[in-house]
Amino acid sequence: MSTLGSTAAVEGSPRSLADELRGWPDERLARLLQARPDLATPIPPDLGVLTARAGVRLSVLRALENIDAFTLAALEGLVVSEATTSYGDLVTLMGGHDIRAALERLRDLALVWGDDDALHVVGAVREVLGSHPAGLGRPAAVCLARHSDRQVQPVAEAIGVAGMPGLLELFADRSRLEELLDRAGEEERKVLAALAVGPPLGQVRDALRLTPVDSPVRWLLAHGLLVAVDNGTVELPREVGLLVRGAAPLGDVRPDPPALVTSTPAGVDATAAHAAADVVAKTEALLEQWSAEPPGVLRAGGVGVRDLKRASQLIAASEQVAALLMEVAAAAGLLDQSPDFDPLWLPTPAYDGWLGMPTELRWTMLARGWLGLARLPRLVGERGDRDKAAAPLGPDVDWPAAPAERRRVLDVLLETRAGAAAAPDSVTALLRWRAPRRGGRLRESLPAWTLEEAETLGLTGRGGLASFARLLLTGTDRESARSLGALLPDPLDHVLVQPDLTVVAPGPLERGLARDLALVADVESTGGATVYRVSEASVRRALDAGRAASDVHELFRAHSRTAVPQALTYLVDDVARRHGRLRVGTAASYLRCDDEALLNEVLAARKTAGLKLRRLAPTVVTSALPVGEVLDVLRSLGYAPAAEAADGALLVAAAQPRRTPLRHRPARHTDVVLAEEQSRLAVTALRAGDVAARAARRTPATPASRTSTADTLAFLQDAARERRQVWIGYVDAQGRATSRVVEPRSVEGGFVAAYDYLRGEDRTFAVHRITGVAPVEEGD
Amino acid sequence: MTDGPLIVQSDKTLLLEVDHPMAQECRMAIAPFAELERSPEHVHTYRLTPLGLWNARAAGHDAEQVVDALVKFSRYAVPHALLVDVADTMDRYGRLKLENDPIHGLVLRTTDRAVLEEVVRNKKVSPMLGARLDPETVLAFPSERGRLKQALLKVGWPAEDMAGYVDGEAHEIAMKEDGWHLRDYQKLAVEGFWHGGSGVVVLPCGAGKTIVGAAAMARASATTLILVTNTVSGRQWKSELLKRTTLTEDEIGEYSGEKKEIKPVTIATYQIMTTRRKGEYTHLELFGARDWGLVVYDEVHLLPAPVFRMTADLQTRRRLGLTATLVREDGREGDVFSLIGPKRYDAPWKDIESQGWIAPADCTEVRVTMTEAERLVYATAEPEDKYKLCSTAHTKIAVVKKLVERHHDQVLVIGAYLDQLDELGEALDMPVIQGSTKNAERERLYDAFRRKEIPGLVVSKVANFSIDLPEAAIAIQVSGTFGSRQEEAQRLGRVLRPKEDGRTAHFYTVVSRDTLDQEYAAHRQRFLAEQGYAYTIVDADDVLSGG
Repeated sequence: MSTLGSTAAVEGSPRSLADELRGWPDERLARLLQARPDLATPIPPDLGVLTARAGVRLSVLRALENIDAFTLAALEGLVVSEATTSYGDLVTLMGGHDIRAALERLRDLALVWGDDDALHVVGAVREVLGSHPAGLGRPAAVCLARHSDRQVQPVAEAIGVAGMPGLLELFADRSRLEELLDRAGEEERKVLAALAVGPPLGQVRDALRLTPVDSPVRWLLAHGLLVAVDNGTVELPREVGLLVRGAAPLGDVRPDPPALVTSTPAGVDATAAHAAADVVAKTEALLEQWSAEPPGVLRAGGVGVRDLKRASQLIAASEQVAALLMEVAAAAGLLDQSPDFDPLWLPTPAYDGWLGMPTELRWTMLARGWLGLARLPRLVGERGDRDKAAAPLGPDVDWPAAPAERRRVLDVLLETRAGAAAAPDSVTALLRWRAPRRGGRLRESLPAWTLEEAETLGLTGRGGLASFARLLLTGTDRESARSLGALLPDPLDHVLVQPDLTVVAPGPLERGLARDLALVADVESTGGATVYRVSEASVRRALDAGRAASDVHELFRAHSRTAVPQALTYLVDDVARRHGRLRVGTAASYLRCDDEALLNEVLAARKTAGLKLRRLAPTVVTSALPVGEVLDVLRSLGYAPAAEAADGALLVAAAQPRRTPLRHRPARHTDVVLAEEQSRLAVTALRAGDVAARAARRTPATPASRTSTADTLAFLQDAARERRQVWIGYVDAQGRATSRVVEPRSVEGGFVAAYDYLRGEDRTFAVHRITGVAPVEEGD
Repeated sequence: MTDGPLIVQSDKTLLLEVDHPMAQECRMAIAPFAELERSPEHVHTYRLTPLGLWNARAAGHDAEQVVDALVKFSRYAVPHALLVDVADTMDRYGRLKLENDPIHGLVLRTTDRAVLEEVVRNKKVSPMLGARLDPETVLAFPSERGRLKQALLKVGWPAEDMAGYVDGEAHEIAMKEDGWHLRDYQKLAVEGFWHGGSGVVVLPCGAGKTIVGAAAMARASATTLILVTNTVSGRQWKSELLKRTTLTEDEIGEYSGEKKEIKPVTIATYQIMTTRRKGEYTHLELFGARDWGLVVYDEVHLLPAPVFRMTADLQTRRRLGLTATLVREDGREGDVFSLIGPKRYDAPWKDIESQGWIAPADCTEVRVTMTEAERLVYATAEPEDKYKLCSTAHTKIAVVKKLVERHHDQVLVIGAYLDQLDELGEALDMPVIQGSTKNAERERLYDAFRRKEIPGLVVSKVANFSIDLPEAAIAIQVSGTFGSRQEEAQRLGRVLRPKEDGRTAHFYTVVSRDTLDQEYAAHRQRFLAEQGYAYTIVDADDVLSGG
C-alpha cells in the first residue's frame, strides 16, 4: 500500500508497533486481520490489544507459516542484526536483491515496523526464529557472556587485545576481525567454512582447553574465532560467520520461486479417467464386502490389520491403497461405525444413494471426500508413540491441516498448463520455497504423498491434472462429473461367455447386469474389463439367492454376444438339479404313525389346529409345539399317543426313580508298610523339625520384631559365610507367617538360598518376605 | 482411448479379443513378453510375470517395446503404475551377469554396484560367491553356477548367463531330410534355442518335439545325452533318430533298467537316473560319463527333483527342454527357468492345428448314470475309495463298447485301474498294456497297432507319454489320476498326430454323473479348455441308443 495514506495521526517515525498500526489506513488493517485471522478472534477492543496479540509467540508462528523463503530470509536478516537495521543494510545482507515487496509483506503482517532507516522486528519473531537465525551463531558478546575474564585472558593475549572489552571491540570492528581471520591457516579456514554454512555448532572434545594447539579447532578456540559453549561444543560467533560467508551473508537467497519441471505425457485425461472408474469400482467392491461381512471397530478405533489385509486382497491393490479408499469412503459419508455396543464398520444409507448414481458423480463424491479429509491415510501402518501401527479409520491418522496442505499441492498443479505433468520433486521444492515453515515434521513427504494419492484416485493421470479434476477444484461437482462422464467408456450390455466357463465383460457393465453377474459368477480379475468365472459354487449361490435355473440361462442367453457354451448350460442344470433336494426346516416335535388313516383323522380334527401340524410324508407329521403339549392335546382328544426317545425307543410315562451318582470318597484305610529307606528319611525329617522347634522355643519372644532389610541382609550374609544356623520369621506366598531355622548358603538378588530344617530340604526365601532374623543359640 | 483389441487388467493379465481385426498383430507384439495363459474361443488371456518379462529381456526385447505394445493395443488407458512396474521388473534382468573372465574364470559382474552389494550380503547367495575382485566383480564358484542362478532368481535379480558353454566332444550328426522337411515352426524353435544357448521349447503333443530335439543335436553336432520319461519312449527316440538323422544303430546307446550302454548319443530314463541304492543316486554319474555337448530333457514338466539338482552342476553344457505344457503341478517353473533356461519357443495348440500339423480333435464328455446299486455303494463308501468306485463303474463298459463300435477306427482306451482295464480288454477283445507288461511285449503290441493288425489297445497310464502311435484316432479315457490337467493334455496328445486323410481325432471321456468322477473331469478339462478345445457333453443314453 502507498505510504501516502497519511491519515496518520502520528507525526514523524513511529515509536512502537502500536504507534505504526494507528497510522495505518483501515483497509490495510483489514488486510492484516485477513492475513492473520487469529488476531481477530475475538475482535480486539483496541489497537493496543491487537498489537499485543500480534506479538504473541503462537500467533507469530502461524504468521510465519504463510511467508515464502525469500521473505523469511529478509526477516532473518533483520533478526541477525541485533538491534534495528536500515533498509540499505538489509539489502546488503540480502545479497543486493530487491527486497521492497518482501519487506512490505512483513510490514503488512505486522511482523516488522518502523521507518526504512530504523526497521524493528516484533520481539516474538526473534524467539520463534531461535538463537541461530539463518544458520548463524550468536553474536560474540552473547557467546562470551558466560565466560569469566580469567578464561578469556589467554585468548585476548594471543590476539593482542586487552581482556574481554578489547575482545568485544575487535569483534565489532569488521576490518580488524578480517585481519585476525587472515592469520588462520588453510585447515582452520575449512573448519570455519563448514560451520559458517550452518548449523554454527560443532562437537569437539575438551572444548574448554586452549593449549596445546594441536588441531585447527584448538587454534581457532585459542584465537577467539570459535567460542566454547560447554566442554563438548563450540560455536562460531555471528560476526565471524557473516565475515566467512562474504558476499552471501544469508546464504543462498532466491527472490524467485524455483521453476516447476513439467512434461507433457500422452493420455493424461484417459489415464485419470481410468483410475477414477477403478477407484469407484474398488470402493464399491470393498463396501459390498463389508456390508456382507462388516469388520469390527478396534477398541482403539479403526480397522484391524487382518481386515486391512483382506481388503487389499479383495480389491487387488496394496494395503496403502486399501487404507486410502476406506478413509475416502468414510470422508464421503459412505462408511461409518455402527452405534452398537460392539461397533462394526458398515456402509451408511448414503451408500445406497451413491450406488444408484452414475460413475462420474460417484467419483466426484469420493474426490470431494478426499479434498476435505482431515487425515493422512499414508500414516496407516506407521508406528506411533506406543509402537502400535496406526490403523486405517483410527485416531492416529488425524491431521487437521491435511485439507489445506493437500489444496496447496493441487494449487500448484492448477497453475500448470492443461495436460502438463509436474515432476514431484519440483513440486516439493516449490512448496518448500513458498512456505518453508509449514507442514511440520511431514513437510518433505506431504507433497509427494498428496501427488501419489491424487494419481491413485484419478485426479491426475501420469502426473498431469486431469481436465475434470481441474473443474472439480475450480468449478462445481456437476461440471466435473460431466467432463469425466464424457471420458468414461459407455457401459456395456453384453458379455462374452467362453467354453472354459469364464465370462468376459470387455468394459464397464450396466449396473443391473453387473450385479446379476456378480451373483452367478466369481470375479477373477478386474481392470478395464472384468473376468468372471462360473463355478458350481457360484451357481449355487445364485440359486440360494432365489434365482431359478431358467433365470440364469436367460441371463447368459440375453447378454452373451457369443453362443452360450454347452458346458455352461450343463453346469447350471447340474447344480439346479441337485439344488434343494435336501430340505431342512424347524419342527419342535413330530408325529408318526403307520396308519395313514389315523393321521388323516388327527389332521382333520378341529382341536388339533393349535398344534400347527404339517404333513411331511404320508406317515409323518411335524408340529411347531413341543412334545409335552402335543401329547397333552392328543390325550385330551382321546387318542393314546406315546412319546419317543431320540433313538426311537418308547418313553414310558412313569419316569424312573431319581438317583444321584456316588461322589468321590476318601480312600479306605489300609495298613501302611514302611520301607527301611522311608523310615530313615522320616527320622531325618523328625530331627530337623525338632531342631527348628527347639530353636523357635529359645528365640526371643519377639523374633518378628522387624529387623531392617540392610541388617537382615548383613546378618544372613554373615551366617552364610560362617555356615551358621539362623532363625528367620517368614511370610509365605499365601500370607502365612512361619518361623523356621535355616542354614543360609548364599544371599543373592533378593533371595536367600538356604537349608530349611523345618522342611528338611534346600529352599529359596525371598528377602522381602523375611520378617526378622535371630541367631540360633549354640547347643540347640 | 483407442479401440484396440487388448484390455490390461489390474492383476497384470492381458485380455486379447480374438475376433478383433488387430488381434493377430497384437498377438505378435505381446507374445514375446506375455505368457499365454488361456486361449478359449473368444478372449485369450496373457499374463505379465517377472519370468515372462525376463524371458523377453533374454531374447533381446527391452521395456520400451513392451510399454509401447501395451499402450498401442490397449483399448483403455493402461495404469501408469503397471507400466512403471513392467519397466522396473525388466530392468532387474541383466544388472548381474555371469561371465567368463580370462584370468579369474567364472565371475559375477554388475553394472550396478548397489545390486551387487545387496546380493553379496544375501545369506543364501553369499556362500556361492568368492573373493571380491573389484567393486563391480566378484568371483563365483563354477560348481555353483546353477544354484547361484536359482538363488539370484529367487531374490529377484536374475543373472544373465554369458559364461558360455563348452562345446563338448564333437560328433558328426546331420539331418536326413529325404521326403520330409523340418517344419517352419520347428526351424524357428531350433533357432530360438540355439541363439539363446539353452532353454525350453514348448510345443503341443504330436507337433514333432522329437524332431526339434534331433535338429538341435544336428546343430550342435556333439555327443548328446537325452533324458526321457520311460524306456518305450526312449526306444521311440532311438528309432526316430535313426530315421531322421545320419546316426546309426551303433552310435545310439540305451541307458535304462535293462541296458547300460554309453555311446555318443545316449538315451536314459528319468527313472534310472533317480534310482537310489543305499540312499545314493548311483546313476547320476552318467552326467559326467562323457563330455556331453548337449543335454536334452524330454517332457521337462516332469523333471524329477534329483535331476534338477544334478542339472545345477551341468551349467556349462547346452540344455534343451521339451514339453507340451510348462504347467508343473509342483510350481517349479522358476527352477526350469534358471536351471534349464528361459522359454525359447512357444506355439499355441490351435495355431499348430490350423497349420495342419496336428489333427483337429473333437472332445466329448460322455456322462453315464450309475445303477442304483452302484450309487448306493458309492454313497456309503469311504472317501478314499470314492473316486475309484465311481470312475470304474461297470456301467461305463457298455458305453465304451458302443463308442468303439461307432467309429471303426484305431482306438486307445485309457484308464488308471487295472481291474477296469482287464474288464475292458475282455469286453472289447483288445490286448491290455500296463505297468507289468514286458517291454518286448509292449513294443510288439504297439507295432501291431501301428500296422493296424489290431483295432485297438487298452492301456494304463504307461501310455500317457511319448508313445508314438500315429494311427490312433480315437481315445477313450475311462479313469485317470484324479484331476491332473496335464495328464488330460498328454492323453489328448496321443491322437493328435495328423491323419493321412486329415480326419478329425476323437477324444472321449466317460464319466459317472453326479460323482467325484465328474468333478475331477471338469478340473482336468481346464487346461485344454483354456487351449481352446471345447468339450461337448453327451448323455450315455444317447450313445447307447445309437445316436
